[in-house]
Amino acid sequence: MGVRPIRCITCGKLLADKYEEFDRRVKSGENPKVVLDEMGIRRYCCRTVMLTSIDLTDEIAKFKKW
Amino acid sequence: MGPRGGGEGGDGGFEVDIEIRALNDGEMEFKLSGVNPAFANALRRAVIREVPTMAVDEIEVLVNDSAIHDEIIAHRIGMVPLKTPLRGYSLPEECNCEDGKCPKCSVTFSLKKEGPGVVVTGDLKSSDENVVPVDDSIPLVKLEKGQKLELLAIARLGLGRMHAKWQPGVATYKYMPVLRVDPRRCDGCNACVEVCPPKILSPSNGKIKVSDVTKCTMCRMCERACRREAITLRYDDTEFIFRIESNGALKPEQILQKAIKSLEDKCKEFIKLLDKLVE
Repeated sequence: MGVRPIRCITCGKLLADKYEEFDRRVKSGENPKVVLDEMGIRRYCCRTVMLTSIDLTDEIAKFKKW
Repeated sequence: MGPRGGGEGGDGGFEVDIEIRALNDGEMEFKLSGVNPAFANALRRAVIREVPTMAVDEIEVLVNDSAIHDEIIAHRIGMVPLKTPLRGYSLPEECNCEDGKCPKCSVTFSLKKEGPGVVVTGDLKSSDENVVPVDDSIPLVKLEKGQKLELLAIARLGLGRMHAKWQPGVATYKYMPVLRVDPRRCDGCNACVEVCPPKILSPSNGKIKVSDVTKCTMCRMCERACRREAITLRYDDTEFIFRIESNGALKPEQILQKAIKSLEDKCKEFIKLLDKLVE
């Protein structure tokens, strides 16, 4: 889809407000497992979305025809 | 309480008890006892199917220069949970208006933004200050320089059974684990302590102590690790650990209240229909 999902695809938990903190902390070298645990993302469905979704909006924007 | 008690008391009725274990703005955990699995599941399904919440249902795109299609923007805005007041709005099916756009059953959001920048939920201007996105920083679309986005969104009450965007949250339950250690058989080898994933077993005086049995995941690793069959894991199907996790639209206790109300209304409706049949 290109844009990171707002809710968990399986259970519907709101995730869109958590990407920023997650990405920042993982980028700064923290263990993703610890970050997910501390952010209260318990279920493996939500954890999959957090770990594997990629923001491709900039890529898509290149192909926008005016 | 028995291994297959079914929850009925001696007089054939239910002796239901709720013990709140944790409660905050987003989550609620309680022990539900004296009911059978069918009732616990009915409650779980009532929470995810029958609690009315607000979500954007219709969208009118006036200008969209962004790289994202109208439909995807509509889907994203629809998925944003909206804070829902308990009273004041009615379901569109139950409203007297014809088009489902009257102020009694709908809230209108307007959005107008020009790039460069990210359009976030905070840019949605609501016609009712009580119905707003639960978080203002959710990114919806990214706009490049000069691109414009302008739209109107109409939010309505809805039920989880119509679309998952109207689900107020997640509800789960599990049977109460019953973990017994036979002190006559246990020789204190501590094999079970090592393998237990939630780490609820600890050695004490050469025997095994269970700290918080509600954390048990029922994996039976301890049973398998024990060479002397001293540890047995059963479950009590008249006691449940029930969790309600809100996505922010309603408070968890409000969700539970609304869910039970919907069950009650359904039963009343059923009795009414039966009465009609009997007459």
